[in-house]
Amino acid sequence: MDRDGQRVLFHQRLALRWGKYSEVGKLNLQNHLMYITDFLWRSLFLVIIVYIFLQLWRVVYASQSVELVADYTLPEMLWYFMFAETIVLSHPQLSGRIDGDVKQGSLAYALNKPYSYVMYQYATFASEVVLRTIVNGLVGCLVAALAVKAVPVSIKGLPFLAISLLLSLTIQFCLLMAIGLLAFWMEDTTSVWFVYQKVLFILGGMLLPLEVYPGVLQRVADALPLKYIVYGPARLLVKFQWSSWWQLTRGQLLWILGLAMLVAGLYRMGVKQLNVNGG
Amino acid sequence: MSTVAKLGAFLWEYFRANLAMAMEYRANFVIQVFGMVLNDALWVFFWWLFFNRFPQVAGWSYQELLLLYAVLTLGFGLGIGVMGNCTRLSQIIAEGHLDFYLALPKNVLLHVLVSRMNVSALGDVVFGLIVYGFSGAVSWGNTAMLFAISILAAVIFVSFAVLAHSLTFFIGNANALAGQMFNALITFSSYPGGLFKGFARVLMFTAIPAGFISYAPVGILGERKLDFVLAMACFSLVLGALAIVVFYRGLKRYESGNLVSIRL
Repeated sequence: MDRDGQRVLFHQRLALRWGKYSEVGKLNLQNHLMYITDFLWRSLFLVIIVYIFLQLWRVVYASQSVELVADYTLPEMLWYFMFAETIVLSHPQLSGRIDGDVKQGSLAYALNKPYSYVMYQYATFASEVVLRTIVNGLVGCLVAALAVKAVPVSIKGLPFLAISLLLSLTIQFCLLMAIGLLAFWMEDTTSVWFVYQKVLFILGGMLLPLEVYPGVLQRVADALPLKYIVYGPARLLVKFQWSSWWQLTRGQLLWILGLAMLVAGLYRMGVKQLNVNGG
Repeated sequence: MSTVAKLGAFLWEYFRANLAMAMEYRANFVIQVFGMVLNDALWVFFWWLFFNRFPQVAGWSYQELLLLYAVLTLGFGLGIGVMGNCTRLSQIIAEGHLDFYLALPKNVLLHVLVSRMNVSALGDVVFGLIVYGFSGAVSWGNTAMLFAISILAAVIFVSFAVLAHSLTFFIGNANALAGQMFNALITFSSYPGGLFKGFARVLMFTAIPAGFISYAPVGILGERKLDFVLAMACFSLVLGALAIVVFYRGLKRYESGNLVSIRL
């Protein structure tokens, strides 16, 4: 076969390989679109929490008699919080599903199928996150705009923000997958997820931008992947700069590389010790 | 034996049985309880960071926030820990699992509620006691007030959950709606009451009854603590009665699906 033939074959295989996962994603998306009202109900929490934080920050800015906290104005702070909350609320509890698959043995059925279990989960996770982010984002933007009567968002940065969000959900997927896979060795991973979620709230910068924390805590957050999930994209929304976008993207890609290797390792180790009784 | 004593004994026996069942998987029990303590501790850590940067929030200090968390976690842990099914009521109604309870000679609502224990909520009880210990407000009087207010908070949590989930009798499976309503109650309860003014404050003493919980430190440390507890007790009684009435009104509309299920 000549070089052109080999190239065509390679592209065909690649299309076949990734095409099936994009079909899985599309199917999952269609499935979730059937329950769009359920998604809207869940957005109600976003409305409540944005309202509460609006009250909290109003009181803080007024009591401190300042225009800026860290380097955020009040509208920027509220939009930052709204978007950080949108990101977190748009991520389903994947680790619970994986935990269930491992314990109930459903994972065994995926082993003889012509797809990778991990990639299958990624396709379903990503499609659900995209839909949830759009719904939550629209509701959140409306609430934040009405609350502070300002939209401190850089429009030119939005397409690049979409890339950051895609990388953010990939990091989150790897971490949740790793927690779920711990079910091979632990009886229940719910507690691990609970604690992880709270650490993400704090060190990921969901509740407060990292600049508000003491220096020691900022350094701890810098050493972890969590700020690339929430803080990075949320800050970009209100303070877009090319240099910070590139810095964020580089960090996200490096963490994805490391975490993907961790997930692959955990999955291989787990599957080796899988025992299936009956069917 | 009086009716109240019988109900108390029934509650106690169920609690013991549920606890023994949970303790069967001891490692899992410890992980769940400890996990919840850690989970709550991280919330308090967040607030420590916040108060470290902004020492006064709407006139509240960090000590008052610790007392709020003591009441919130103790109330939630006692209510949801013992009556674990109150947050799953819609599912039980919608899937026809009420049939089992209807056939037995016990109070249906109480029986459904206590049939399941929420193990992780017991971690909230442990955390509530720890955080109270660290609040710097420990005294005999304050401890009595803390327990009185926490028990009333537990009544509010359970009653509100029953009310919200009973909507399933009237509008079909209201699991998502009831879940959101209960989440709203917990969320509003976990922030200093002083933050909310006007309509939000009215809402917190009516439709989303988080007001008494988020003002709990006033009840423990304030000058008119007895008035506070009395008002909270009246409110809890009314809410509890309303939940019972709505549940039994709804129960009249319940239609069995003849589901055959086994309880293990």
